[in-house]
Amino acid sequence: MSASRVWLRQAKYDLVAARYLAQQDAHHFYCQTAAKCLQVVEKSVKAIAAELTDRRIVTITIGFDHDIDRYITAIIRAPHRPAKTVPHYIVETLHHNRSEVKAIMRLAPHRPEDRNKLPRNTEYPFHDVHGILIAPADTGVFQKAEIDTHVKTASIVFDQAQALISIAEREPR
Amino acid sequence: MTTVVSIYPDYLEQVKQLVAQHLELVEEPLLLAIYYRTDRAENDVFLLEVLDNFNGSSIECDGDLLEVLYGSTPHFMLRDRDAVLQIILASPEELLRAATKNTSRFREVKHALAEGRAQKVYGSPEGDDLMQVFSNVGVACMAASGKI
Repeated sequence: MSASRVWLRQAKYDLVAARYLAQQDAHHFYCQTAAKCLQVVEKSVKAIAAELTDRRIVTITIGFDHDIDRYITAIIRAPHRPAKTVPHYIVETLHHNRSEVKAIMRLAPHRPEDRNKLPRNTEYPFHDVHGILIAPADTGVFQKAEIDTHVKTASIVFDQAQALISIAEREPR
Repeated sequence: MTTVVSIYPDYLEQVKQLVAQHLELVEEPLLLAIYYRTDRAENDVFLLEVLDNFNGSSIECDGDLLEVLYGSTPHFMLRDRDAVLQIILASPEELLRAATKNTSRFREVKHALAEGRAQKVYGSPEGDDLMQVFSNVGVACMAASGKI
């Protein structure tokens, strides 16, 4: 099985987990739901990057970092391809979703610039607007409407990644 | 004057080999494959594939069936250097929706079948059932049975 399909398989079960957690409708699960959505998006983009690397359209080393914006940047800078070809669909899809993907990926924990102003994220304690250290699972940190949006974004990105990899696999080899 | 290089069904054997490859792609199982010729691009090779678990509408927003262009490769040689292999991909639901809306790409397959310039190269039992959508009577029956 190709690397892209393995990334996609894990993304699929991350999405199953995100939906399951969202269905519990419990505020202390909102951060975990968002974290799973983030994982879906990350792995879906990495699956696409893996497929393009396998086809030598781009050369990207798939790492364990959360910064998928660099993957998207590399992919959308690939040489222009005619409309309705596989690379064209990939670039257009990633370009179209970039702002939604960035919004969800901002929730990934990352090294802060100021250790006294840890930003909101899905996993680690951070500082609220009053500078008080709070937990992502605390009440009010994440809202249901926001989580529903993240689940929807993750679902769309996963579906798109699956469709893009499917059309790439259908090239005569 | 345009020279028509590809005359259907010249690429039938290559199409069959390609479809055989696609049968191995198990994540989106192939249900139906139809090789056909269109009026709009006589030199191109057209292949409709209906796949289970596929969501073409997630990346194609023009409201019609997803159309993907592939150039000539060593594994699918096209005699005309400007010709392309065009694979139309859809889930059963997307195909039925296209039939209901009578979209442009759906009509191309339907007319090709009616005019004898299309043939089914693969059909699972579900895929064979889907062939009904290409007849007017079939669409009516499927609507009556709630399938569309």
